[in-house]
Amino acid sequence: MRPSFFLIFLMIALTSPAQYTFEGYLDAGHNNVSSGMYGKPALVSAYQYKFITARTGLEWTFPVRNDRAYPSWIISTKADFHIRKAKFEGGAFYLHVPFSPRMREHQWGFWLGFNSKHFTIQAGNNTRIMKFTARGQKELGLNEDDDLKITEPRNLMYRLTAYVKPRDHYWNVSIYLTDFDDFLIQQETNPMVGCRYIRELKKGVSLYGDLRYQSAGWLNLAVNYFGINFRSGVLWKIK
Amino acid sequence: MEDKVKLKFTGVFLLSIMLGACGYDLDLTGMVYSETEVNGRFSQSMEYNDTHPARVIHVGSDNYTLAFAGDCHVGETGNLLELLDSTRGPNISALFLCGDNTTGLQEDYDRLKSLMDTVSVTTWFMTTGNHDLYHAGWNTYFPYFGPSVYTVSIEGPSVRDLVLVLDNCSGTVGSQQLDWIRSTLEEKRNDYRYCIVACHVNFFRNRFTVSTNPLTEEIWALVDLFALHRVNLLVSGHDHKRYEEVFGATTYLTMDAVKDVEPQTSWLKLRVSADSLHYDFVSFH
Repeated sequence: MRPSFFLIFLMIALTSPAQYTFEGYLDAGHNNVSSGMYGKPALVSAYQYKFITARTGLEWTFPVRNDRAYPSWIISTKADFHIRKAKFEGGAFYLHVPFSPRMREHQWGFWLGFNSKHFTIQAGNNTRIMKFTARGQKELGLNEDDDLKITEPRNLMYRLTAYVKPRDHYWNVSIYLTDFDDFLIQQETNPMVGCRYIRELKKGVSLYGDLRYQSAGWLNLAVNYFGINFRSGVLWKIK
Repeated sequence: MEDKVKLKFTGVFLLSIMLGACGYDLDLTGMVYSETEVNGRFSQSMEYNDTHPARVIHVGSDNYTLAFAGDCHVGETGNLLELLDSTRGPNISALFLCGDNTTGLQEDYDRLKSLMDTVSVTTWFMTTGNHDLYHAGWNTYFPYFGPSVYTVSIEGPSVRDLVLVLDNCSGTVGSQQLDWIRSTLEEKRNDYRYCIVACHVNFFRNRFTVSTNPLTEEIWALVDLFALHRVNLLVSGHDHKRYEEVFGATTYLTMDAVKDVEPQTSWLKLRVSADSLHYDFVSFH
């Protein structure tokens, strides 16, 4: 059902007179719960009309979580605006993660961002809801009188990025500190550090690679390894 | 020039606030480096468990009472002494201390060891909290109190219940302990009436707080595992503020701290009976 939204969005984007962007990437990594290496291919598409951008994407996880291969799914929108000469953006999103055949995670959120020549800062709030699926209720013998969801209403989202070259340079190296990504949002106390190299191969087509490290217990002052991840991706902008 | 002065002033000001907030008890090196990794502590715990008898408590009735408490932060001992006094005697079958038992300092470990050895207390069990690891605290914890990961079987006349004591004080249970939790639940859960998990770091958050939780992927894995194996109750501390959350058949409890200076302090009294697990937070005087 969810992938069909993605296809509809793609069709609208392809037939509209504005800029659209396709992005494909593959995450390969390891963490404390992955039982070996994992791979996460993702497809993301964005459509921009004037100062408004809509974006949607899918991510699959391999090895398949439990016995279901449903992808995670996100839809988001953002608006670019200026206050005097400063560039800002604001957006909202919905993220759906079927992390188990018995449970789903729903994330809603909004954020504001500030962009300068060498820095970007984004901050926002997300609400996480975990729910049992109908299959989970049946399998575990739960009924409507049971507590079938957990809500965590407040979590600070942030991403701080510093660029070596001006942001729109044809190649760049950036480092960032963040607690969220397209298909995963950590608690505010669990930041991830990453480094990206991006290069435009020809007009509108760029390749990039990210190396990211996730620790646990950083703010507990008992820091431990949690996971490491490498992402390689291609970004294609069409006007 | 003026900007540089402002920058320096701001830096010194922020550093002062940070150090002031941290105080003597904190070990800031833990932000970049930990003396022990969770997988290492797990391995040591399993080696210990393999060479020592299994932990079994025999209770006279299938209905009995357990006590749980967390975040004692010895040095301070006012509320802890009251806790040990309240849980002494036949009415409480066992006391579980869910981490941050000390500040991690050697003299505070000595104080806690002395208390637990000399004060006549009920059968007790404990696991580590992040503060217990400060100042290389695991090197004292392990010889004094033993493993941080183990099971306790509580055996009555006709039923038995299982308590899993976990080490998640580094914000993760680690890959090896996760495998152990999975295999323990698969192999043992059906032999027991109730299954209770005791650990330090709480799973869920209902407010902005600097207190860390397990990472999202780990929560996905454990919550699913606990639901699948009908874990009845998870008791944790760490956040110093009580919080109750029910998800399916599993209740997730975060306890208040025992630490003297907190505005709200309590311990958890858990009545186990054939019908239910019933809990109350018992405030300190």
